[in-house]
Amino acid sequence: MIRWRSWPLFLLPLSLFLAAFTYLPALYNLLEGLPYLQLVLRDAGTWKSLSVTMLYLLISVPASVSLGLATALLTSGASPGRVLARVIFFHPVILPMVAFASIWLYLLNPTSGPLTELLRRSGLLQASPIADPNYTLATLALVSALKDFGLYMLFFLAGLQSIPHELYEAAAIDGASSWAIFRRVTWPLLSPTTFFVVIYAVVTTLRNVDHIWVLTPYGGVAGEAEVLLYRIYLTAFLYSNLPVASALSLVLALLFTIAALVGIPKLERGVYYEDR
Amino acid sequence: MRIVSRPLVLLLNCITICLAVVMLLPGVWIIAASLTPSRFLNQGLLLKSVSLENYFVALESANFLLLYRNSFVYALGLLAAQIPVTLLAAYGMARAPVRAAKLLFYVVLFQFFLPPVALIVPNFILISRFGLTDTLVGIALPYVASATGTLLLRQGIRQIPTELEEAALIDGAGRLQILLRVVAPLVGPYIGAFCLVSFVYHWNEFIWPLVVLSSPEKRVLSVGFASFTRASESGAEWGLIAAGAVLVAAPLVVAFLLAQRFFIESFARTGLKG
Repeated sequence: MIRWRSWPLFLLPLSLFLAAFTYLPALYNLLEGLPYLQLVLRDAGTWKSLSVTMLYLLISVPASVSLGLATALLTSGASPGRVLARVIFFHPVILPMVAFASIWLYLLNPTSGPLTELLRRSGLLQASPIADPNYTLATLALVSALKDFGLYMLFFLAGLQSIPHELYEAAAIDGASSWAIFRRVTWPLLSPTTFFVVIYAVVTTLRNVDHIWVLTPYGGVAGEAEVLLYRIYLTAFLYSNLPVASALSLVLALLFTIAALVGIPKLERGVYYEDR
Repeated sequence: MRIVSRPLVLLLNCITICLAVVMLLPGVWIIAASLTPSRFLNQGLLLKSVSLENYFVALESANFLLLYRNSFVYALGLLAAQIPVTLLAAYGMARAPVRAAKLLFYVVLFQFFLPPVALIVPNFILISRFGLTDTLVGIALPYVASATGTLLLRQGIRQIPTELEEAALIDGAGRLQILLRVVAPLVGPYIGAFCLVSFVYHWNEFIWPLVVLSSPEKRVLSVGFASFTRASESGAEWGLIAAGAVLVAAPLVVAFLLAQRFFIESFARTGLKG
């Protein structure tokens, strides 16, 4: 690769905006939240909320990312049927979360919801999953996954378009099976996109809070659905305690940083880039 | 060239159709609810009678034309700033020396780590210093340096073999020229995906515009829509919420159909690498 000295120039506009609107606010939260950090870390509620958040991510992210990948593979192409299918898979992304969640509230209503009735009759569940503390978190995680997987489908579709056709044709001529083609061509060449989607899905999933407000206000009966960001929202807006919300934000940013420094190099080791 | 066998295609199409039928539900439910007068809907009688009542009430309660206009100006204006800034940065990051590139990745990624709530107060202080409260520019500025756009485009650019750029460099092209003529067309699908994501996100964004905008004539659509949901807390006007949601989402469906063609066929990459 030919050396390029003036690359920092290309990063200048981004750096200015990043400094003003990301790093300055980070500093602000550090100064505001630091005196309350100890208080927040001693609070058992914070730790409970953290473990709830982990479980929530472990359910929602794999579900949404794999649905996104599956639907991208199934609908890649130009036929009108595929275009229609893409619109259908994508449309929950467009709907406001409050509206999307209120559909589920209707369906899963503990007394009259049609889906609650169906689950009861089939003997799968006795009560509505949003009324049963054992299933609340999983239900919220799946509602979030169903809302967002269309977005990941979009990223995967963009990634699929950059895989050269010739590779597929060559593999087909060699008589490779569909699975082998997926495993040896699509998956590795899609890996830069997958890498991005996984990170993006973790962040997006954590940021979805509106559906929690609609389906289980106050984070469920015993806080079983109080993910960390929801706790931050409750602290900031319901209890109007901004410094403690800042301290909680610091905890979240700190955890993210640690997770990223540990996890991302591992994740990126499996990524195949064409430029190096 | 067929790379998937015929029975498998049939099976996959069946799976797609089944999934699509299930996922059709939210849209169908919202449209059905929007057409059902609230007095029936509140008793659980979906489509008991069909009328445009909810739409009339929704359209009367806000100046939708103005709300659409403001949201369009905000979302499109922001994109016009985001695309050059993120594309330049993504290219710089992708072609920087390895160590610097690694560090920069985390520097940009850090934006994801701060919860949006934590940004409201400090960014509001900054915006007021610039005298930009109650302006659309004011709500757009904090989003110009989009980590989503930068990192997504970086991933796209790193999918391009460097041979092409090297050939152009040897021919005497400048980096900016290469970015615009060679790299940008090749990452077209990624740019399309980012445009759609950014547009949808900012179209539906609520709290930050609510904080920054105070005069009613500057309001964006999402803030206008929230007045319905707030009304619902007292009277549970689900029909009105549904009609509002349809009115809010309709332009996004059009945006999707427009951006759609970016994902149809690999018009860019064919013939690039054997």
